[in-house]
Amino acid sequence: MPVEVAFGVLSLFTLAGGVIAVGSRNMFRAALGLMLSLIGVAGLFLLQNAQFLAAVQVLIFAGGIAVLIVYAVALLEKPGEPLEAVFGKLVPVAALTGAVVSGMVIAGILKAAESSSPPAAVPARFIGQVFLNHLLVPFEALSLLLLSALVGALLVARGSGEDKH
Amino acid sequence: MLGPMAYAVVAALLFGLGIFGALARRHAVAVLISIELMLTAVALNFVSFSRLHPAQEGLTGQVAGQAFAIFLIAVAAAETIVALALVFSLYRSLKTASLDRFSILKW
Repeated sequence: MPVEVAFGVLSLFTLAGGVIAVGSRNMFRAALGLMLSLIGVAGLFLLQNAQFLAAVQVLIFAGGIAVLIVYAVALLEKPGEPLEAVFGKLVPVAALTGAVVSGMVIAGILKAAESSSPPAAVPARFIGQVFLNHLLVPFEALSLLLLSALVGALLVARGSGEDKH
Repeated sequence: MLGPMAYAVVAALLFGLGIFGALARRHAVAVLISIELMLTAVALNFVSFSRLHPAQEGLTGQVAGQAFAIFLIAVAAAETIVALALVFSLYRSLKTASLDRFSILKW
């Protein structure tokens, strides 16, 4: 069954990328692990016939956000500096929380009724119509949010102006 | 044909990994990376659970799930920009990106 094989490979990519992103000592490697995981999720979208969303995921998440994080790592990391410990004091609590949350969700999922209808392809036209008919106000609010995030990020990152030349 | 639940299991595992990383890592950008993992897991959940209802025109089923996932991706982008700006600002004043040192608000 090719779909099952593709699902297995893509979920392996996704989870392995997640493990690299969370556990890697080298921050650059962690950012690349995030990119691998995001592209794996884009493949899982594609496998569920969500082509438009897969394209958006690759363009914005893997192409925009991950590259932004790589730039941040390149600016923040000092080469040759001795690394501090990767994990803080909260490791047992964090491991317990993560395991309990995903265990509970998976237990709930396995109890739920499985429906095996094949996914229908959603044309991008439907999504665009929904955005302009039903979700027009949230759509415009989203553009305001993006604009204010952009301006706010510039203001915060520029500093207080004391070091202006 | 694989049902939506197989994808939801992958999303739950990814979400658990993200929770672990967000709580345990010390580097601020590593915490941000873990939060991105959690957000992607939620987007995957939106898409896979919306498959329980067939695609039609209008705000139902798969169309609604994918529209919400697009909202989530846009909000994640805004969140990343602001968080990185905060990390840069803190790095400028404290000369470190380790979250353990970001304790200037308490004394």
